[in-house]
Amino acid sequence: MLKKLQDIATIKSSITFVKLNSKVKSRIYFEIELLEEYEKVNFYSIRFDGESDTEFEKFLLAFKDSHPDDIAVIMYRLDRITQDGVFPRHFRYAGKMKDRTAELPNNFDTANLRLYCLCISPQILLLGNGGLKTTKTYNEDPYLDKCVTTLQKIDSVLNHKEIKSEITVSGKTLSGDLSLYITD
Amino acid sequence: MKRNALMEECRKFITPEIKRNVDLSIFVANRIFDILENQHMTQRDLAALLGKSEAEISKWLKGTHNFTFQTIAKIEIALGESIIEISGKPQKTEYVYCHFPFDQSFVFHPEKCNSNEIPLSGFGWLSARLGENSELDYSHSN
Repeated sequence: MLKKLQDIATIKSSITFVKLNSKVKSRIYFEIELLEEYEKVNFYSIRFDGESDTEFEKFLLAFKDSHPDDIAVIMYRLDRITQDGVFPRHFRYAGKMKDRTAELPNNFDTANLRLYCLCISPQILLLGNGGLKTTKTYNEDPYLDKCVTTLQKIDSVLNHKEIKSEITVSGKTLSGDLSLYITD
Repeated sequence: MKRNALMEECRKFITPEIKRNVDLSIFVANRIFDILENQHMTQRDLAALLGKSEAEISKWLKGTHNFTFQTIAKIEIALGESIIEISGKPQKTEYVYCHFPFDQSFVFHPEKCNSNEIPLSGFGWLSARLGENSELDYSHSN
């Protein structure tokens, strides 16, 4: 009887352990990297730990051969941003109103290639990843939803660090320790 | 100034047509935005004037909308200002089909161009561009 009770207790404690473990969120480490710099604007992107390409480079590599015209439009819109600055009204809000996650729409909404980014300031644009939008909203597509939620989490971390002055936005430059992590 | 090799590679896909297309759409969006600001109007005001939703106006101002002349005309009338203006002077180009010899003695006489033909021997296409001063700038090809 005692043996049985001990066994049950062991099983129960294992279940609790598994439950606790499932609640522990894993950390995903990344670095914010300067991609390109211009007189008025700097483009940054994110490189996850152990990956050779940044998120924006992954986006370009995924679509440059299959959708060269759409990539060309996005690249030229970025070129215009280098001249005009980062105007949030030229982006479509993705995510929530409280964050800086935005979508760079392709021209005329004919193509469905979407690039997600963070409009950090009028002089800083952080380019993320994106993809072909085949559903009515990005939330319905697990991949696009992940692109947006990742940027939302990064924005939240950045915001927190900015408030604590651990990262500063000065002109077109992000300064501080740009090696950060988000939780899965 | 730092540049990214992959981004530079992708910039090679940008054609003059794409540039012009994006420039024009951003120009129209910025122009509407500027007029609204100068007239102390909001996107909601313009939406009300045009019987559109505010979301539609916001979409227009992103510089990605493919405006029709009809929509532009409606916006211009609602705002009382022109959004686009046509520059340059109209040129009248006339093409005439005529027969002529291919030698140095050929002289073009526009007054002889009755019925768009010059009664000369030989054959070929001749295009005559009538400029502002009715000077002829012509060329021909076989």
